[in-house]
Amino acid sequence: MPRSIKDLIVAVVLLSFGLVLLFSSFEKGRSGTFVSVIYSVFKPIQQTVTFVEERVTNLFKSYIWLVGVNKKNGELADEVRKLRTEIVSLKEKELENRRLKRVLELKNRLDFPTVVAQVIGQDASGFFRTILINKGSDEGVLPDMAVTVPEGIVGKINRSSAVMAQVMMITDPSMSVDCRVERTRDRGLLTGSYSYSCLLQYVNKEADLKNGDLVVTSGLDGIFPRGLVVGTLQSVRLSEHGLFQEAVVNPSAKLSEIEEVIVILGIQGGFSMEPGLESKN
Amino acid sequence: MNELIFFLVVGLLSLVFQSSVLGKILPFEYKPDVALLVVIWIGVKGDYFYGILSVFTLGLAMDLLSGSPLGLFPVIYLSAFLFVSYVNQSFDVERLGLGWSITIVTCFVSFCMVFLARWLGGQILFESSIIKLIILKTILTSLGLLIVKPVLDGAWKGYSKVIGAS
Repeated sequence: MPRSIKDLIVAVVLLSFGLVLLFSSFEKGRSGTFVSVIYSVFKPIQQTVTFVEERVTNLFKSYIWLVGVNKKNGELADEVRKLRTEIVSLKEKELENRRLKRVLELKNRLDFPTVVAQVIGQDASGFFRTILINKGSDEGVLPDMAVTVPEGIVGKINRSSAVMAQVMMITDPSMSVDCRVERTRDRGLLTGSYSYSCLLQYVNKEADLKNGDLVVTSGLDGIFPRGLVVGTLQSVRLSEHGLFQEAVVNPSAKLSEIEEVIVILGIQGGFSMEPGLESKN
Repeated sequence: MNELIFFLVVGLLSLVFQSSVLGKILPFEYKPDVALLVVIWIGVKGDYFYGILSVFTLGLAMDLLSGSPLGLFPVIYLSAFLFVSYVNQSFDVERLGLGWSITIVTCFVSFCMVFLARWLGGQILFESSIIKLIILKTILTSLGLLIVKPVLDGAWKGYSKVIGAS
């Protein structure tokens, strides 16, 4: 509790500063010096924690789970442990290779310059659906650039500093992506939702939507190039007032399990309307 | 000054923990807000001046490690700190065993403020699942006090011994 005028002034000044920041930042994401300094401090810590976490997970997989097996198998324990360790390590490498191969394939298919980044953290508060990646403006990663994985789109860059960037995922309620249903070519607006993963809204009432239909980006929102996979329709219904159809969309990318992403570098928020991936598939 | 360093280090470590390990142990959306527990702890134990500075910095860092608009968490954490600090001075929270009640109220109001700000900012529409999210997150965060409080008390005791403070 403030005990003097000085204390009260400090509280008021800081609260005012916070409010000024809050109201000014609702307009659009900023990536100034302050953001750069904080991100520069956090990047090595986040990377170290991620590194240690991976090692600890590997340790659990390769050693601690095997303690029970050791007891049961007596004299073969050492050999089994060594072999299992190798298998786990090889499997990890194989999975990583597969992931990176798919990433590379998509990277080559894209018409735009891209950069591959590693996911090094997730939203600290849990209220927003964001992830942190280890590439920033030094690599050309800037706000409003599209982020994708081979399975489907992930989101867009929300903030970036020189060394690190934050990705707002398509499941966040503040995100919206202009999409098409691939089969019928009907357009709709995909938004994130707290109740569902994503919701495709404002689709023509007469459109023949079916569960399982593939949803792709339309390229009309100026952020995502045309033809990138978004997800599949899960349940179709009429909107509240009956003017449009809406559908729950199951994102193709497993957003909670992503380890590497591709950032599509280009003019921020201003892609050309040239045919994108669809013509190449 | 030593107090400020301790608060900042503990607060920033809690943020790193939240943004890396915690989301993998618990469901992403419902993971406890450890940083808010640190703020409450500072409100009860800490010096007002260093407390308010560290809480503000912690809020800014939280903004940058989450998708929050810049300024949201400084306002929320400062409000939480001022509330806890006021209640503590008026009622002596620790002696009367009010820690749980204060934590639950602070968490609930703080989480409501997050959604209220997003709603006022036009970022989200009201959904019934938001209420469920707020309630579950309040419960889990409050339960986090069982672990966070002894850890912080212990760390503070050790730190005080090292720096020779009372």
